[in-house]
Amino acid sequence: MRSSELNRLLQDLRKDADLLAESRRQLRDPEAALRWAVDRGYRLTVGDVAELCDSDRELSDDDLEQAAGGDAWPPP
Amino acid sequence: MPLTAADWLAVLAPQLNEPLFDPVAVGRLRRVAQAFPGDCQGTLEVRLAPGARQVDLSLRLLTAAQAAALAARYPASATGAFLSSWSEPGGPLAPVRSVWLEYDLDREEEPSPILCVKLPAALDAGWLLGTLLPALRSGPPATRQRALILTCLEAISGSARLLYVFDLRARGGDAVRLEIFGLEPGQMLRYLRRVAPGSVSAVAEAAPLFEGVERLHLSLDIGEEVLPRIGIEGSFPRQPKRESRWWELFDRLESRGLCSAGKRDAALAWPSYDSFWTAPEQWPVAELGPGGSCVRSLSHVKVVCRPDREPEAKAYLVFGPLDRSSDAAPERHSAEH
Repeated sequence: MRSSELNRLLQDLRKDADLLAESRRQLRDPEAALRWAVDRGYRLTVGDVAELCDSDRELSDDDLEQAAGGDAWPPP
Repeated sequence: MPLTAADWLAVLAPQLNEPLFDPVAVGRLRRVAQAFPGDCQGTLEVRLAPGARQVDLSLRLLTAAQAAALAARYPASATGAFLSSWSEPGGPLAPVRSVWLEYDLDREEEPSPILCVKLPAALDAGWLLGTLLPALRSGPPATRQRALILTCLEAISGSARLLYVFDLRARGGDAVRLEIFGLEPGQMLRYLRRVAPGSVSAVAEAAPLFEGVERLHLSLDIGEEVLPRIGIEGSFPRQPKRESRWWELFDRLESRGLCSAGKRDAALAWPSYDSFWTAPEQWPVAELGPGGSCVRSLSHVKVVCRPDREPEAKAYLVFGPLDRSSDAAPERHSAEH
């Protein structure tokens, strides 16, 4: 269950491009991300931070190609 | 509110611009997409000719839950009955791998969908003619149509196979479309000489456009006769970033006057993805939180040939959530989930 604090942060991130960019820079280090959030008044849980960090996952070229069928053609 | 395909179109909004998309087309796409569960993959069918504005929408159903949701949208109809039957685990339609609903968005009111059924690799012609087509069309094909379908099936040679069958009644008439995978351009012409000789010259003229293109499909429509419209489509396993032959294909289309330069560039630039972090304002946070990805990829290019008419070129642009599964009949998905 997503915490209300994470929801509050997400809503703020939607409205503030600078805050979004700043928070995104923290996501490679969950502990730093948690400290960053607490310093700005968001009482996130460890689970909230894990969800945030996991959400900024880079997709590979293979991932994009899979969506159009990839190597398995025709699919089974 | 449950996630819908329209939520993904909202995420894509910055990409849905001229020259491929005009505001009227985007509005029609959104209205239809609202009815589809957000875990469906969608495809936007864009016309590549200069000035051609119509964009059609197809959405793929893979699971019993998706089929049941759409069946409820079409009660007391052949579409609803077919989707209900397909969603039954172990039923006579269990071999169907997936179903696409295609909407021709050439008018304001929502059209009836065209159903496109993906067939199993080991196709039983008796099941196709005796079970699938009667379920898809609320009755068996007429005697003449059935004989033509059989002739077309028997003429498929080598490793080629029938991959999709379409019910085209939503376009008027009574035609069934067969889409065959695995014929090289020369084989396509030999095949058409056997089943649709009147279409050979138009296809022979367009076939060189697909020189060096992989994953070729040939489609033909069958009513009381094999109709003169023939489709050729092709694609590559890699996306344009890693496959220069996409550019060569589009350049050939442009040289023939079948694609504008602006549309070529826009179609080739389509593949990418979005997340909460790239599209925070449009991201469906209430439904997904910050997670998930909305993928965009270039599926294939199609050229439609008709005698005594210029060919028409289209590109098919995939959108939707990242899906790591392959097609599977709905009972398999039900068991997995």
